Amino acid sequence: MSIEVNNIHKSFGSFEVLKDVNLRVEDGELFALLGPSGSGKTSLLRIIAGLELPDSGTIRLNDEDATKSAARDRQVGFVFQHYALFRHMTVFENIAFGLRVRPRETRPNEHAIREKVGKLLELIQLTPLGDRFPSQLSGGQRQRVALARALAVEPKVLLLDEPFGALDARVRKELRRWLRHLHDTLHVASVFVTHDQEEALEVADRVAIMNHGRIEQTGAPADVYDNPANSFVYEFLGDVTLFNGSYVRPHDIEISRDTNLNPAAVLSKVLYVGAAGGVVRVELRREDSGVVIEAEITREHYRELHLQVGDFVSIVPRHMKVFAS
Amino acid sequence: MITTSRTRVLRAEPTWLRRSLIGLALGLTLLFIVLPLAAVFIQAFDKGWQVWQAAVTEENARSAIMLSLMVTGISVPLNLFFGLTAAWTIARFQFKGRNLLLTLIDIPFGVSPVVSGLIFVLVFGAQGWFGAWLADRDVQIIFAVPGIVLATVFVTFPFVARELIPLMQSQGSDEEEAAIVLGATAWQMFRRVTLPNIKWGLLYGVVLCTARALGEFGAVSVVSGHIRGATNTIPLHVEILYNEYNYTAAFAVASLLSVVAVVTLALKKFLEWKTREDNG
Amino acid sequence: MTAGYSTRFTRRNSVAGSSKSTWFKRPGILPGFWPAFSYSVLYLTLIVLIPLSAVFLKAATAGWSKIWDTISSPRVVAAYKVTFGASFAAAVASVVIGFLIAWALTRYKFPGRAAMDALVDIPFALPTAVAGISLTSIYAPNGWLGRYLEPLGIKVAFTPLGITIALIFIGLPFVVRSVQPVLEDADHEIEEAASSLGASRWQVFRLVLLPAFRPALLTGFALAFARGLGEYGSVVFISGNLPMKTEIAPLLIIAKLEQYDYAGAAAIAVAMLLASFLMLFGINAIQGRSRRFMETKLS
Repeated sequence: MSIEVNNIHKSFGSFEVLKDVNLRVEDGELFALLGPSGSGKTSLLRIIAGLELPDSGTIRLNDEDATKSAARDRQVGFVFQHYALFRHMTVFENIAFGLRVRPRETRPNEHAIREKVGKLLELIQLTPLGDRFPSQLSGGQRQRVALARALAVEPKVLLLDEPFGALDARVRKELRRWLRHLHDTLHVASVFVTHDQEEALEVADRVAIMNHGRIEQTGAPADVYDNPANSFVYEFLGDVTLFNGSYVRPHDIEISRDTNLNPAAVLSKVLYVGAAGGVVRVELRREDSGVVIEAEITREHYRELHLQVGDFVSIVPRHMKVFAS
Repeated sequence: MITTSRTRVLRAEPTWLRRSLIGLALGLTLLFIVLPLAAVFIQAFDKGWQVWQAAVTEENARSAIMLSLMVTGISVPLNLFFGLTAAWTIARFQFKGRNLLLTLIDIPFGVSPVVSGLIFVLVFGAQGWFGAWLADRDVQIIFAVPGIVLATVFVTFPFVARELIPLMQSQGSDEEEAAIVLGATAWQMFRRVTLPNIKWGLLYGVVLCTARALGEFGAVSVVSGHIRGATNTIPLHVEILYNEYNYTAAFAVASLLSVVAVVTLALKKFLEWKTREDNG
Repeated sequence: MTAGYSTRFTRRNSVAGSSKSTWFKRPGILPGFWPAFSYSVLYLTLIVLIPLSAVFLKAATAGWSKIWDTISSPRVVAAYKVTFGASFAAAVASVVIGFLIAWALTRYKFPGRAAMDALVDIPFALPTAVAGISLTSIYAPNGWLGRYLEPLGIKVAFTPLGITIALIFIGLPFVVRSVQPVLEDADHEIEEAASSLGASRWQVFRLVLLPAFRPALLTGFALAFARGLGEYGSVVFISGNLPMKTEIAPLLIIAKLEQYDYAGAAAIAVAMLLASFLMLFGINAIQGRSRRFMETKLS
């Protein structure tokens, strides 16, 4: 089911959370809403789910106007940031909830419910934990239960609010890959909210970058990374350093021992070398202006250069970006 | 609490001081708080079990007990229902006047029991707002059971709401929103998600409300008229017996209320522990 | 039960910037706002607001001169003095004793600590009339303690001292329960920092701990004081009700009612209500200030 967001405005009191937001998510797409906290991404997600009503604008699901329809009629699955698992129900009963509250005519019988929940437990790899209560699960397990609960009602759209926000770094990476894999099997249009650009770029088919209640840019991860629409997007998607008033990524700064080869090169002094990690971080001070610049080079290149603190090298930027302010 | 030996070194008072402070605190608790409770039971059974039994089963005592139970049985459900609606409104929605509503709910706690009775006399009493109108229709509220119910409802008004509001606010509305998104109706959401989450806090509020309804003295005293066998609640009956110098009987009936108080405290501990367990 | 209540209302409201609101716009999707809101307001109006307004209207219709005559008559003034004096003395005593009890409960481990913690709530749960007759029997001249105090020249029952003792019983749990959470949350590192800087145990207590507990102590004091002003059941037996000497203000309301002087009763009541609302207003101000104090301490 496709999602279309047209001219959505939303304010809380005098604070405008969303300003004329437009967006289209195609059926089967895995879509990320990326932005800093306070950018309005969670409000947008809640409006799509029907958990919040927009001040103006429309939401169209499957090309039908759903702005006025109730959350329970929208056939959306929503995964809350803090999971919102029913604390007094077992994992099994949590997942079964959406089936048990159906009107009598469409409610599956007990056998069908057991079968369905069993399958979902298998899918989230928690079959042995069906009788546990949410408080007895780890964060990652709770997240998967929340997902299974949302999937049990066979939603046409899956919405996830900061799905990995409350987890520690290792579990995050693991679940991220698992979500991508899950999406590829289910192929339900999914939208997730995140403030972590790495997460959004790695997992999503397409990304919308939000700031101050507006969408700054929408596109495929590689697309927005290589062709950022403005300085906000450029800065938000990765580290930047300023070079003659333009933006450069640290890994786009070339360091060379040859100090008079290129006329564009600038003579700089090495201030610091951080050689722990996959890339080597170098801090340099330009001899002409005294401005400090950060660069990232590969370990291989670092070994070739034999960089030492106090050395003089020449630096040349590649792919500089200039944005109209 | 002092747990590790490291903190103990820096933060401990000398042993003699610690022991004196503990002793003093214990002594003062016993003197000011425990002694009055103990005195009730000791004097209730002063003249033996049979005298106690006679005092609490005597006809006027029985009718006082029945009246108190009836008044409690009416007041508590009323305030329970109000507590639920008020907590749902305040803990789940943002609206103008929310803080005002919250403050107004607390008013009965700040009003003297005697004034709580007085206000109903001013409204329904012989010279009150509706006094003449009620007299014409031969309806009596003051110095009758309806007045006692009204005064009790007023005095116990905030108990359930005050337990539920902070509890529901700390739980947040995520679970209820999840239930709605998953297709639950309002009633299904309330019965399957809200109610199980708040049940211990709700019960605690009901226990406090019940204890206060059974034991209320000042407000009820003003509106009751002290008619033996008709408008005497348990505390009023205690007062009458005491003023007639029938001390043993007074303490015997008072011991019933004291048992309620002790049970209330035990339930309080139990329910606090349950709530913590559910939300911890 | 009562204390520390308003400090618990914080978490949910700050989420998603939803602290502002508008009439006629239902925030979010949860059902039942209008029925629940309407019923709550209706019930509140019928049970609390209308009856309570009766006392103000009654006093107002009687006119200022009548109000003034009533509350300035010597017997009423004497009753106010007894009520305020005993409530104040009892609140002060409750603060001292209550702080000591709370300190022992939170700082020390000793046998019977859990029982003592539970027993502190007795005055909340014990009906006031029961407490009243019990205290009287203890402190009467031939009572358990009274018979030993009498030869020493200390008369408790049927004197202002008796009223004060009854109000200490009523006020103690308010102080203990106000101070206890603050003592439990007290930052141990601050104490340790002070000790490591060379402060003696007494200096740490006086200069570091006590200032941090002051708002809670004030709250406990105000709660105990306000409760004392209106207290009836536990006092009326032990006070002896001698006009001009041990008569309390609530008792005068009953006396006026028995003479069918509704306006006079209303006048005394209005003065009492204003006093206790003023106290509650003060409590809110103290709690607001201490909350800000805690916040600045955290940030």
